[in-house]
Amino acid sequence: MSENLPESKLRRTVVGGKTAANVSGKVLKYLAKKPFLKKEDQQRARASLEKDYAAEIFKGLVMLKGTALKIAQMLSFELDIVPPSIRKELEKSYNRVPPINRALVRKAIVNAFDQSPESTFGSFDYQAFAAASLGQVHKAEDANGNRLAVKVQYPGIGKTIQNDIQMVRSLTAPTPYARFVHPVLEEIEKRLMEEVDYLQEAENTAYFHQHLRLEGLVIPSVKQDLSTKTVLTTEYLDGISLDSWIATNPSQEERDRVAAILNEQFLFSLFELKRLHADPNPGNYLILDNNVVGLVDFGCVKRFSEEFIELYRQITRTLIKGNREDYFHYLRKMNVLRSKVDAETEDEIYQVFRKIRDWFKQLYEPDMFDFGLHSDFIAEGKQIMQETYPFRKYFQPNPEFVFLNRTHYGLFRIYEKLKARVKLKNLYEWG
Amino acid sequence: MKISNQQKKKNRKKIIGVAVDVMIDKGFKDATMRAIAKQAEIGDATIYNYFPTKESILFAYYEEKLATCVEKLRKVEKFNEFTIHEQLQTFFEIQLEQFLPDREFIALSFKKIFFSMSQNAELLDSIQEQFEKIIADIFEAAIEVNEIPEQVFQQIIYHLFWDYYVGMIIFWLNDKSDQFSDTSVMIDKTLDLFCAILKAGAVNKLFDIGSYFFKNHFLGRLDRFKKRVDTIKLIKREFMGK
Repeated sequence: MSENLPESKLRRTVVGGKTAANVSGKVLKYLAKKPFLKKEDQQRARASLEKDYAAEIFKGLVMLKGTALKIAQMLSFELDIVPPSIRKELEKSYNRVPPINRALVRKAIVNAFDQSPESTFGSFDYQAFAAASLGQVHKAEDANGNRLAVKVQYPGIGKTIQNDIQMVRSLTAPTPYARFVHPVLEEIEKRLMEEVDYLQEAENTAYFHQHLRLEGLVIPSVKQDLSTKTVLTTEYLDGISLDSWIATNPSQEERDRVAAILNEQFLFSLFELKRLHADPNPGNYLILDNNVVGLVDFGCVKRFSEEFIELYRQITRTLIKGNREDYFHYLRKMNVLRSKVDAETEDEIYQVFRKIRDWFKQLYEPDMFDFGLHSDFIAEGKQIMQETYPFRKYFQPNPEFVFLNRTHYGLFRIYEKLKARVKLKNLYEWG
Repeated sequence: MKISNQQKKKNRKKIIGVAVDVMIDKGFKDATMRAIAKQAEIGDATIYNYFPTKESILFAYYEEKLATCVEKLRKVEKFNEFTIHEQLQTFFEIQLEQFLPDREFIALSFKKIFFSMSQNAELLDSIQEQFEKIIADIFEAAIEVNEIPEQVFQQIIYHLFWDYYVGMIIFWLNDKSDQFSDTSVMIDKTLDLFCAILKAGAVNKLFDIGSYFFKNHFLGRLDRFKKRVDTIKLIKREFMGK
């Protein structure tokens, strides 16, 4: 019971309304204070108010489950407006939609194929063997006994997502963050709605199955005739999840090899295919016999424009080798920095960037970066990134970055888990 | 002409199916027994061997759907391993799946069947009985494997499910969501709650509270009342002597 997401709009509105009421209470407090404050006190009051805003809004979102929480997590990941305490709270919250019981699974199959699972498949296991972000995966066989993985979606989830996005949007609208939040929210909504459309995912999976051909990597083939908007059937990959594999204590060489394959698929997808499997959840990487890596769940695929990739290709080099002028030129070209920044602020921003560079450089200086030796590398980077926080009003998020960064740092986190040595220096960025 | 039992069954089924179509086309009022017989290619008189009235065909439709539902439940893989919640939910969902092609017919016959206090009460009783037998089967199995504790007033709970069933169909008839997913979610959530209440033995606990109040207050009051009666008797004796 406790795992159920509050689904009725009334309930969600009640929870959301609570948050909004709290926020407007805070605004009143600030407005009442304002006329009597000295200039710098006013600024301090505003800063404290902004913090309260974020805290209240995200506290409200933690109370919700499922998709609303997922949206909140994605937002907090992208935007540095969330106080660390709340961010931690969000990160550990459970963002899966509740498991679909066997009656609903049967219903979902009937909805999709107009017949029962028993008539649709040769055999069908009502018990799911894996959770997917907006559904779950079942084992099945076709009429010829070929093993299949069938991903089933919770009925009505699309509507829930739209309601939730709408709610987060209206919650954040009266805040000073609307400017940051709304473009990112739009991007998140687009991705989530794509994720709900399994036909899109079938297409993505088939595309990567055909084009992402690397040694040591498999991508399951799609059974088009057994796939619909809400049910996705692919060939079954007989492997274990990355986390379970790590638990079997694989050797350093094996771990390095797996990390190398993951890194290679990332670079090839980004720079050659210009589309990316953008959901670096350890559950999406399976380890098969002979340490072959299986890549599954193409619900979240990001496509990039030629121009963006060209610009992105230079990011590493600019960051490591560039001078001050290069930095600001690059930031403006990426449309991340607002054009009007006074010299003093520019100076301060540059100081922070130098710190980021010193941290980032470590990845590319050695031939191989040993994540096992630097187990707190990502945490360290996060710390440094937070120093950009005071300058956030000069930045605007570039939506293209949202999923790219998520994937990139998600993979780094996986290399960290693997304690792997990875050759990050590559021809695409250094060629 | 003598016809086999099997042929009889087949004809019965055919009449029901045809009646549904005719009623959708013409409405209940204008769908005559004669029109139905003609469509079913059965004699104008012969049809009365199967159904005495138009109404009785309606009831037969619902009865038949319940019977097929049981057959379909038997075919669900490992249905016996489902929880009571999942079993009930599957039962309701299969019912709706069967109603789906005849949705217009359900919409026009539903009120007539479930809310008319006509002379057909015993026909409705028979559907309800059949329905509650299915629910009872599911419940008894769950009690047998200790999934839920034995419930007081079990019969009343079955009646409640009948009311739930009627309500669910109304909800479904008014559901405008894609593939009626709102109904699915409604069934899922409400059964989740019901089954949690059943599992917690909340009905039994309510009964315990009820009987406690009954004993302490109602019976206690009776006691006081008895005392008063005694007092009156005493006064009476004092004044009137005895």
